Amino acid sequence: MSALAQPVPADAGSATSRRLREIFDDHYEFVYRSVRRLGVPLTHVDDVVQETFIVVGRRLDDFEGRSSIRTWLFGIAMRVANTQRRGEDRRRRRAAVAAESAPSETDPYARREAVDLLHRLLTELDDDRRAAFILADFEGMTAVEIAEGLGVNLNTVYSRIRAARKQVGEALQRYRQTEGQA
Amino acid sequence: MEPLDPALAELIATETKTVAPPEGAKARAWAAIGAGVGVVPLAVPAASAEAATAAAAKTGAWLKIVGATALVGAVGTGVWATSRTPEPTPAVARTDAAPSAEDGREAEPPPDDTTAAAVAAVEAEPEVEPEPEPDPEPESAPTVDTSAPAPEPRATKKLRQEPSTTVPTPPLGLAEELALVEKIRKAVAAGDHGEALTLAKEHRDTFPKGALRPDRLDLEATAYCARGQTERGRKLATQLRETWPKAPISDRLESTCKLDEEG
Repeated sequence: MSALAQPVPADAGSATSRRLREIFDDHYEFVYRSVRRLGVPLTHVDDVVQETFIVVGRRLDDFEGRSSIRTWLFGIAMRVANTQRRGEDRRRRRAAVAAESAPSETDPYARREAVDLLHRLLTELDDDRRAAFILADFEGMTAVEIAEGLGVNLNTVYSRIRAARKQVGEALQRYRQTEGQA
Repeated sequence: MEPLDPALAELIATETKTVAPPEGAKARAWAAIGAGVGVVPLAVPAASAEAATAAAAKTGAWLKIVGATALVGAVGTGVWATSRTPEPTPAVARTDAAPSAEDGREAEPPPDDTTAAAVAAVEAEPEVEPEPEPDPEPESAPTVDTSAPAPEPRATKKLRQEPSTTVPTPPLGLAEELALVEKIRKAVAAGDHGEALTLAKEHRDTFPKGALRPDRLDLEATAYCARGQTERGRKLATQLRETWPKAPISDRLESTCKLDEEG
């Protein structure tokens, strides 16, 4: 575990433990999917998911229920993933300087090219667009839920989803054209 | 708002059907989280118990992981109990850091060349080391009794002992085994097969009767095949299938060792 996740005091209380366990049972798969979509390399997904729930355990008392728990979890996962990515970027830059070539970002064992492709396209989005796009079009959440969860205006959510769809759609088209020419 | 581009919609539909945690990941995650935050893994909720039971009926390995999680939970319960006494409870931190610096094995510096070390380790071993007798796999899925109190974990007594002046030898439990197998898994996923084999040997030596032996064998066989030692990898895969016929063979092992092409 990284320094990001400071342990909860042992006397945190059984109610918190129980609540964390419930949240984990109900939302582990959602957090896992989200972390994958947030551009975390497959080899680090488990670590980021675990750290996310550790942060959840520490901040459980801060959750006031004003937004959906899934958007709250997503926000935490996004911050943990960003921290991980920044560290990974630094590591890659160092490796790239040493090897004078960037390492492949693909999982050598990945067999589902479509998923890899989509995840690569997602990494081209900025954080705001990616969050709105994932929650709306992958997780089926309503714009109202997303707006409450992310703490932004409803129109902003619509605008981000629209922009993300356009950007990813165009990137997909370009990819298909390149594929067709190859 | 405009509808999604059909090609993009199709891609997203494929993704949502495909992206899911691998088998056993949830149990491993909870074991790690429980250790990290110092919370007690509580009795498995009914829904989870049913899901676990259903999954257990499908795979033997999953059964072991669920069992491992339950045992880790039991250890955690002991830690929880001791944490309410004035005595300090180093178990949480120790489990979090597993394998820890307290472990004498970890005090040694890592080999400079893990690949060479792995090769040396492999050379020193018999061609395919026979596994100890496996624990019998239950014919039917066990049920989780949430009403019964957790049994006193064997490790608890040890945790309560005063620190000795001699070199401490903390008990290695399932949390440590899970952590070690997870390290092997990560090494394989990262393509660091030499490191994976070194860790696999460590697992064999440290946990000769470990609950996660099928998982380790699967990863070890994959690492051998990925290094080009296909015959050796396939032998291990055969050993895995024969010793634990209900344990699932990972897609990664099947594809890396090309098990479907075995003559």
